Amino acid sequence: MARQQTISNKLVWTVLAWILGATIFFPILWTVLTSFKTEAQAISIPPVMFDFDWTFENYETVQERSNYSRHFWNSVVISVGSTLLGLLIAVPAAWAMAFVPGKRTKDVLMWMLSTKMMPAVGVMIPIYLMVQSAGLLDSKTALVIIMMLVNLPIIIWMLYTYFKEIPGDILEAARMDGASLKNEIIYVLTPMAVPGIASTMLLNVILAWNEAFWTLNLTAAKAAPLTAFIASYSSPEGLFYAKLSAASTMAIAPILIMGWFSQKQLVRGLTFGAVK
Amino acid sequence: MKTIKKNLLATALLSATMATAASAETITVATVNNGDMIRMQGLMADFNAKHPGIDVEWVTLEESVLREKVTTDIATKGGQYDVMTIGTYEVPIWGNNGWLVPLEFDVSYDVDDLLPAIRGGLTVNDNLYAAPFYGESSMVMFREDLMAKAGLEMPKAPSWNFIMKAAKEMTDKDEGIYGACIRGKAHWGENLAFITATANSFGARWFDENWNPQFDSAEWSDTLNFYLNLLNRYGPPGASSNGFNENLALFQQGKCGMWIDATVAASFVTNPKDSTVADKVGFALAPDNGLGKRGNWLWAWSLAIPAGTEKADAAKSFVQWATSKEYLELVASKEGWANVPPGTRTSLYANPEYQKVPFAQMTLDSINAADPQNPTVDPVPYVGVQFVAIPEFQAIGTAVAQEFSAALAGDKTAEEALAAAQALTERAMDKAGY
Amino acid sequence: MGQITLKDITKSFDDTQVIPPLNLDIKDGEFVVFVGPSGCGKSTLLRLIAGLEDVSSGDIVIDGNDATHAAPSERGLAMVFQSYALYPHMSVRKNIAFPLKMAGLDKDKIDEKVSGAAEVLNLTDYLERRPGQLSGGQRQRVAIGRAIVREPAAFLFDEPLSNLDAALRVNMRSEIIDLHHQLKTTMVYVTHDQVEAMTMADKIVVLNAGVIEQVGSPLELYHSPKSRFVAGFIGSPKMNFIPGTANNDAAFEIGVRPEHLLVVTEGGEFRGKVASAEHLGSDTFVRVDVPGVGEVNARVNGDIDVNYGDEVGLQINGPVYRFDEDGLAI
Repeated sequence: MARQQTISNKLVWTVLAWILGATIFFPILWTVLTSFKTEAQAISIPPVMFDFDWTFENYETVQERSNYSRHFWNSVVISVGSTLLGLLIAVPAAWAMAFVPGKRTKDVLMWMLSTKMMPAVGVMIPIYLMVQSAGLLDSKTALVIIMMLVNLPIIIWMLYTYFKEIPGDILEAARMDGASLKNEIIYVLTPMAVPGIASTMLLNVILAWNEAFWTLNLTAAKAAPLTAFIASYSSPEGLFYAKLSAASTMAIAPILIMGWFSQKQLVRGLTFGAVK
Repeated sequence: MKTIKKNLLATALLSATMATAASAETITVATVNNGDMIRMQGLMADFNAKHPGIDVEWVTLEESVLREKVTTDIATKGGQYDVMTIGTYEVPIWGNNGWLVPLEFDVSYDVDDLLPAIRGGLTVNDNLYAAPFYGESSMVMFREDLMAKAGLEMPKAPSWNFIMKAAKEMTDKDEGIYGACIRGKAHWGENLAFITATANSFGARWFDENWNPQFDSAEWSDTLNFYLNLLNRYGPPGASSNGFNENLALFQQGKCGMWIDATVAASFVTNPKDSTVADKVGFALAPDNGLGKRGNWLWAWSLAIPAGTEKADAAKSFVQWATSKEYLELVASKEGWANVPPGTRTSLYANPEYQKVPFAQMTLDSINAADPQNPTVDPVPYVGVQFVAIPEFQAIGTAVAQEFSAALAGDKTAEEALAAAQALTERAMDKAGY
Repeated sequence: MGQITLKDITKSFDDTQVIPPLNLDIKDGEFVVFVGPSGCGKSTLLRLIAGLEDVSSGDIVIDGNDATHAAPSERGLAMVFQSYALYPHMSVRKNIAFPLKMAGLDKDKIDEKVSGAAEVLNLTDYLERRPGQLSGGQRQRVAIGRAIVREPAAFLFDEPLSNLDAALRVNMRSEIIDLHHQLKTTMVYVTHDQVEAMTMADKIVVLNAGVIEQVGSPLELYHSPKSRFVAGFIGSPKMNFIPGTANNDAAFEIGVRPEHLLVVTEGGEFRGKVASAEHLGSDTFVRVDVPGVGEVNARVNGDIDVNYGDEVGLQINGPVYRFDEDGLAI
């Protein structure tokens, strides 16, 4: 009896999990499907799910019209560059806060997080002017720096949480073993925090990849990443849903594939510390 | 002597460098994503052949994003763009602020050929601040088959009463057909554009000559009640969230008897590739109430050069090319007359080839029926047909648009929406110091 | 060399002084054990010597050099932690090699030293494993291996055996003693277990609330405790404390070790009923409930025949320690 109950319990949870997963995934699936429809099929009422004439014409049009590879490269440089730069700053910062906390460490952490609570548009003009006077409008350099700053609180917070889980004894052992602070971080702390750092990196790359405020506002032609590529297919006057879907699919495909292959790391990293 | 020689040498070197710099000049053009603009990007070979020294980089963006970006850029003299695509709303304001370079073209451009209504909307203090790339108005698109089935005939210039009657006769909710598809989505560029243009034909106006808001007038009450009745009775369900694209989809799917919207839609609904009703569409002028003003708007996507650019000459060469008579002929020769950007030049409409395009005359008549300098029955202090060309309008307009959309959704009565609109407009105008 | 001198050192956390001014000399080659109840400051003292905590005042001199403000790595000391503190991402080989790598030794030299240490500690077969794949005793040996390869001036042990089970603890204890005999290096060992202290130490430092109660060899502490605290802490079973008045003694309190009491049927200094008798074979632990005094423990001959409820006498057969009101030996 009890065994039967656990089996049916398990079944219910599995079904619920699948329903939830499917619900979350549905918009992405719909976008991908729409990208293979004609514009007329894309808006047909009632909508068609699979039963349509599959076509690649939207992808061809998008290829012809846009320089996908340039946008793609810009996205890669901005998301990966900002993440690496962020880690360079965040690892020592999180180390200090996790292992040598001061009286105000908690306040500093909260303050950093509070900067994320302000709507970005509130600092739009000052930052725009700063970037402009530095002569960095429409440059990848500016976006790498800005995206790094935007996500730095999150990187530091995540790393801080991971570092807190590392026993202080081991770091003291390294110190006793003659490791300088630099070597302690390089040889002991960082390798031990690899799962945490990896998932922080992945999450941050995804966040930077999808960021669509600064990347749109601080770029024009040269440094515009894939967010701008998508935005160029959105139109209030004219139905280009299929082409927009094709552009969106092309923009999210790389990050989706990356997420798929690293999901083990991601899940492990995101639930790190949640289950003790 | 020696110094002079040295100076000469330096000057020579300098001009040589400048020449190379000029030959590699790249200008950045910000534009919206619409068919005519995209088409131009495919025809750049012609421009490159005529101006080998100028490379053009395109930045294509969604309208609201574009507006936000170019506004930031021009207000901060960012200099990211050398040519901007802006509308008739921005030109008077930005021209007045000195943010745009006044455009003077040589004789071959034939500036007097521009349609007077369009040119008027782009001129500030006798200076032309933007060159029209395409112009549009609004008109009635209707299903000829459904009109015949209802036993009615659409006049060339219908009245609002006729529209109400025709909508009633064409509606067949069992079949999923709705007489009137009209914008209801809350935004100054969506529902408010339609309602403001309609209000003009009802004799209403946004402000009197002393900038006092007029939403408490009987004319506004008539306008809004008419709009609500038309849509509540004969409009599609959920009309309060429909904008241009949603109505276009409905019309192309055969769900609408009539659709009153931008003239640019004509080429979409008559395109058999996308539209299921392509061969059944008729056109008529936007309706009126016999007061001398029709309910159509006027808009022109135009190319302007921001005052911050360092490449004004190259930018001007581009603007001249893109808005010239020759460009229209270029499009016609490559893509056919139906795809020529409409609504900018008198000569286009005099061309017998272009007159064969089904919606050509209707577009011209619609544009000519709108006058941005004198948009209303009673005099007003502002420029603009479906908008008021003051910087505060985007914010006020969207707030008012939300009130009207709420009334359409049934959350408010027409009177409550108008009272709220009046109050918020008064407050905003007070604050702005009018 | 491994001579450590603490001069007037103090340590405060915020406003709380956990170590009042303290002086201590540790001679080269000595096995010194810090012992005391938890919270007595013994671990803090060890960490001050290691340099993992900064002293608030005073000086630490190691081998004649002032090391008060030296970084841990500069003091030439090695430490074995209670939790072993092995690097989980490194193999046993790399764990042991780590201090050598930090010291910048070349690869051949490192390999040689690691193999040597592994042989001494029976770890040769486990060199390529990760710490997670080892048993508790093996991990402890790796931690020791990591400490010995650097040939430090002194070893610091922070309760290294408390995570092991009883049998293993006894084994490791003798391994460490053997190691000390082999290396003859100074060892400073922290424990709360007086048995470990008694069995291992050349010199025991008894700490109580940050203060050194007494320093001496195990037998000195056993025979001549300077205070009631030391007397009660050293020796097992614990010394009996009896009010002086109960034995017609002028002292405030007297102490008698259980092994210095005889159980007799007639007479004796104290009489009472047997509350329990534990027959271990070699010894018998007898607990007697003495009216007006309380429970008194005696450790007697294994063959004695006493049982619960018997009326017996306790006769003092050895030294009597006398303490004043402040707990100091008289």
